Amino acid sequence: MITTRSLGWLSAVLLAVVAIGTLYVFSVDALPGPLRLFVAQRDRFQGDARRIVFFHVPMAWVAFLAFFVVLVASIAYLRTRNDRWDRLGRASAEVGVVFTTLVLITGSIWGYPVWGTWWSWDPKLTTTLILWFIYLGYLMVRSYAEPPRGPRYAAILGIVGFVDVPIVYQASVWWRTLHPEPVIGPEASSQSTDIVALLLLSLVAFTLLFVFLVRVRMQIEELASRPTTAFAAT
Amino acid sequence: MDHYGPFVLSAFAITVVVLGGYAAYLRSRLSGLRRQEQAHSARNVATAVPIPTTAQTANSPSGSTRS
Repeated sequence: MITTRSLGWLSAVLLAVVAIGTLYVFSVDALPGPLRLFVAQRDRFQGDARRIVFFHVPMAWVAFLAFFVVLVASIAYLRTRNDRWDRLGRASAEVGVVFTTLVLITGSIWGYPVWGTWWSWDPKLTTTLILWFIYLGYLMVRSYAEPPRGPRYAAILGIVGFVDVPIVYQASVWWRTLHPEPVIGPEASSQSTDIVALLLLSLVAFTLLFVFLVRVRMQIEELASRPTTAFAAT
Repeated sequence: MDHYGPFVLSAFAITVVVLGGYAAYLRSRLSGLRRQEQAHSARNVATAVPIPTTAQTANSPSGSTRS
């Protein structure tokens, strides 16, 4: 079975490969054929600004995955009242909020050169901001409300809050928006091979990082819940 | 890189700093809790009252009077 430490190293190595491919450190011609797939070419219209997409999109995917894990853990907690599900939900929500924060920041930095503005009250951006507030609320409920009410209220919020995830994903399909169409999933627009290959590698790297962070966060929750360390952890 | 390079680099740097900072925060919190748990178990071992054996009980003045 893969350990948390080896998972951390694996995700770090893959992220380093993605970073090199994204930032285009080497000349593409100098690379062997298969590796050229993992190097981002300059876009004809967006120039180098498109490179932000190679970590912005995978982080959005990981945030959706994190909130899906919160949904599953919340349903399981309400059914079983097993604290382990509550700890998984809390760990995943925290990691999801970190990734959503980065999605909003990197999206804003991409938007300025391409749209000419840091922020627009566009459906995709607005629903993503709402998503961020929902799960920030989840973490606040989980932190400030005493058990057993805190975990129960947070689980309900974790289930209701997930309704916003498909809305964020579909926003650029349902409404007229500045944001490009999805590049991953059933509504994905067709892309050239180099984009898909690097995006998939980046997706794997960020997903492994997500699993690593959630596992470490779960270990913290488990240690903090033991009577020997519970006093200092609060 | 073209004139959009600073945007790409700043987005990349923010991502690295935030994720690296969060991983470092989790690591320090985990090691702190582990240290605390080890200290607690070490303290428990040091202050634990030794359980007298049958032989010690029999030899003590207030021990068993059976011959």
